[in-house]
Amino acid sequence: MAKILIVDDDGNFIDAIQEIMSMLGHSPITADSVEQARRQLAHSHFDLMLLDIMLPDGSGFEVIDGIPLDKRPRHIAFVTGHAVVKSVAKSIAGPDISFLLKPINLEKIKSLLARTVDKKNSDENSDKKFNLLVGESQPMLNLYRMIERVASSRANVLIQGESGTGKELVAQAIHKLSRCDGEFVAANCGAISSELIGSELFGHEKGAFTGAVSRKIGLFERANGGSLFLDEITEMPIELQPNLLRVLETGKITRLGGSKEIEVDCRVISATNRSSQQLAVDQCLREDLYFRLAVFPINLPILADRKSDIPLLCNQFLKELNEDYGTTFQISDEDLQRLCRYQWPGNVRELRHSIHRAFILTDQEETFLKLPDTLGSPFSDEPKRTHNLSAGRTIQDVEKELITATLKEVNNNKPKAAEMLGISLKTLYNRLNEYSEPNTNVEESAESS
Amino acid sequence: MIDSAELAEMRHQLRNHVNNITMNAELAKMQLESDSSNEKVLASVNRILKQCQNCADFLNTMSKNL
Repeated sequence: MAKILIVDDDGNFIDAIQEIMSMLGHSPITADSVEQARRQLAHSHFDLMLLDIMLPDGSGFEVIDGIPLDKRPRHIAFVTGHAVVKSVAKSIAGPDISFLLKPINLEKIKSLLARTVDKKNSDENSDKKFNLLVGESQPMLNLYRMIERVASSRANVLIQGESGTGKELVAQAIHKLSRCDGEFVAANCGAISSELIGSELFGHEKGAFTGAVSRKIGLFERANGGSLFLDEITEMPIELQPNLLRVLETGKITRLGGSKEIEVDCRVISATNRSSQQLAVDQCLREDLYFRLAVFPINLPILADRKSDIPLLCNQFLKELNEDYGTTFQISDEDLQRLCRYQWPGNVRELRHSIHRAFILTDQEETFLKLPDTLGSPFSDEPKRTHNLSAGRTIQDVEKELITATLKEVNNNKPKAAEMLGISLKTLYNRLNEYSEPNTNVEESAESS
Repeated sequence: MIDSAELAEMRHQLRNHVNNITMNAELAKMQLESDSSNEKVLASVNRILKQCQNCADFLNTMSKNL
């Protein structure tokens, strides 16, 4: 059953369609003005809104304009007599609307309701916010609020978050909530060679360079009217960044080898796994470009900071795997607790990988997923190793740690360790003597054999 | 002479009458198929007749003004 708001000032039409929809098993409510419609929309969430364009106190567009994002009906259909209104309405109200052209017969109504119910079922079957994100922790609720805020604007967004925190999903959510009719185009700046990055971003004309056998449309043009997601933006060579800055400032691009400027209108959503502090220290992003890209910066929480979401994420991943493979595995409470205790340095990506791996390893006849004895990946220790290299530590401390780690790596073979460290054996012994307790000299002759 | 704005308004009104006739005819059909009461079906048919009369009145007024 769909909850429907019918906004029209023609009493005869309202009476008839309200009765038809009730007979079809739905729940229609009516409003005959912009004001009444706004009141209804403020209190309820509708699956479908049928909207007349001309109302006594304004236009149907004013009804749409006043709807908060979280109260927007799943589907909006304009009731109109003119097919020509379609293109105008789409440009004002966004692409996710449809039209009921008068005279309206039962077939048109049933078709519209079927689409609405399909959309409702698909939304309700998904436990994901915006059909993309999983989590109910406070950091995620804050994130959802920020996504909704920025989606209603056309501001450029810089998403910062560790690897595996879901930067591209957040970018997709922003695009989805933005009422734009262009595409979501994603590119990884770290994966494009510096020779090709200009051609990838701006396109090229035939014959622009050796190998340019035909015209190529660049990422900016493809994303026109939509969103361009530039992942790993800080991996773009700094000498190429002024090109990007120019597009962001002028809204115009020129294909390589071309002479004509082309206007592009797209939101640029960029992402990096570097923190704001690293951005400043590493100097990998021009300051002027940062201010253009980060009109609205969003920081994604690491999984360790939202551990209460781990059960939800695990169940979601397992649900998807069960659906894909026709299985019915569950996760035991004990295993969920174990998963919650682990720190997940690889964030949600590592968690998803672990669940997938466990899914493959579990025998078909088992009820519960069988987790491996140890959680983690070859990269799990990596952050720990480099983590201590932070400002505030002395060179002596770091040197001692490096020597100790090297000796461990070569099973205490000191000549080999000295070679790896690029110091003489004598220097190594001197250092070890400095580190050792007083009166416990490390003997060079005895150890070096 | 009727200008284009007046003509557009006439088309709009006629389309609304035709739309109401279509909707109420569909409703009457559904009511008959679902064994609704005679009173309900009769109300729908009366609305169709009323809209037909509105169409006729509108066309008469239009003819006088042409």
